[in-house]
Amino acid sequence: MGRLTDKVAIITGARSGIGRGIAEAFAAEGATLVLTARTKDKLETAAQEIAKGGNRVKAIVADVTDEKQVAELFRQTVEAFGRVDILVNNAGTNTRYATVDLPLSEWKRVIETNLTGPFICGREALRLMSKQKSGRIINIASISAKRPRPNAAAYVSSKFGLEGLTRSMALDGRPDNVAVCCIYPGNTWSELKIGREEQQHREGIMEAADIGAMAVAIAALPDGVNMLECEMLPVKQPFIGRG
Amino acid sequence: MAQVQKTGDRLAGKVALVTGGSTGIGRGIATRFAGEGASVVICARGKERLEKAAEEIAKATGSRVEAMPCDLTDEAQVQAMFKRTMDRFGRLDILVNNAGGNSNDLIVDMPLAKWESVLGVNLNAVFLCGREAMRIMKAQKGGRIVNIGSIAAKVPRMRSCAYVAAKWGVSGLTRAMALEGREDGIAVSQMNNGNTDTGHSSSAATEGAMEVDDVAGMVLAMVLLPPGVNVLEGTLTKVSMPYIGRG
Repeated sequence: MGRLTDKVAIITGARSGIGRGIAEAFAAEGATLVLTARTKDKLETAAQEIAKGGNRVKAIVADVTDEKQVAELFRQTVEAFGRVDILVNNAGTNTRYATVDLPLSEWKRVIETNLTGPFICGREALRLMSKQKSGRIINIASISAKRPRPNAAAYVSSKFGLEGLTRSMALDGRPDNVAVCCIYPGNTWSELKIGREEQQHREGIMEAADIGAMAVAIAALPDGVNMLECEMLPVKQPFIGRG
Repeated sequence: MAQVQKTGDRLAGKVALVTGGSTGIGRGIATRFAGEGASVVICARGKERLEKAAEEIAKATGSRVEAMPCDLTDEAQVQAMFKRTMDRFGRLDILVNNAGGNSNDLIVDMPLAKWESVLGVNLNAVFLCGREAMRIMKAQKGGRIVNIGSIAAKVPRMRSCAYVAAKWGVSGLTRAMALEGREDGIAVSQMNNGNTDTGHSSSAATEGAMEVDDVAGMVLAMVLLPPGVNVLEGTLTKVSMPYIGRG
């Protein structure tokens, strides 16, 4: 019996990278999964591959920035599995411009996906979980929520914002026993990092499975116990000192 | 405390030292590590209770558990303990700086001696043990140090000035150790816990408290990560814990 048997989890941005890593780690512990992404491409393949382990896995296409699509995602999940125990707000995007060159459209796109998306999904989850009197929301931020990298103003601002959203949701969810937490990963293999491989190698890089392992430890905590923050990074990544 | 039996062998061949290991969170962590096959050294000041704990953990898990009585504020005793650990086991993979203590005084009433005693066990001890561990781990080119902080390292409580200052200091020390250990692959992390049911928390009744094993299980997950990966900081509390908002 897995540590997440009987748990129903929705994971956004689940077709690759950290989302996929968490999905695989949850699946290995017996969770029932709803995997979402904006496009069908690769999402259904991911769901089929993960379902081979014997888990109940459903792929639902949804844009996390679209209120109606998110409402539909939760409706279909409840229809299929009866409840939602865990939401992983993982879907995210990036853009690389010096602040002086950052177009408003790019700023908006990143803030929408990385911050407004977790709000919309988190609000749906809180509504359900408040009724259930239990549930857990795991937001995937970044160590960029603590200290910026150059040329990442939109990403960094969205992740600082996600920390604020985490704490607000945790406070508002507290009376109904809903645990809301944030994982802050450092360098991790994912599609967002293409073009920065050399830097990543120099600094060290984690596997998506490493984030998955901590996400499982958090998801498997008893009801009512919360890992509010989990900052994790490669030992050698420059972050702790001044720079 | 619920007895955790042998759970696996994911720490087989590893040597861990857990300070304050005869009771509470320290004992819980030592038990979890031993349950995964680690050889564990536990230390505390009281010899009798420490030896009994070591015996019980060894019996429940089948692992080697050694009791080394030690006053962690005494440099010579700390150095002797690490030397003895190396003599016995030949290496040190994990140090958990867990030992701590509190007082219950308002700042205006706090005697200097008490202040120094609380800082000694909560902060100086982490430095003394951390320094010895880092010397060993630098030579080994790797290792893991977990400092048990507290949410008092983030937000104070009344009547805890020395404890709060010490834990705030631990946050600084964790980062200084992580920075200086980085080149040699030493992972240094901090676990900030809220109320935990260790039998002597007066706030548990109103605020709720976690089980010791909730904390121990999370520390185990942290040390099971691959060598190059580190949870720099974790914060673990009851959902009901008054901490997130203003007060």
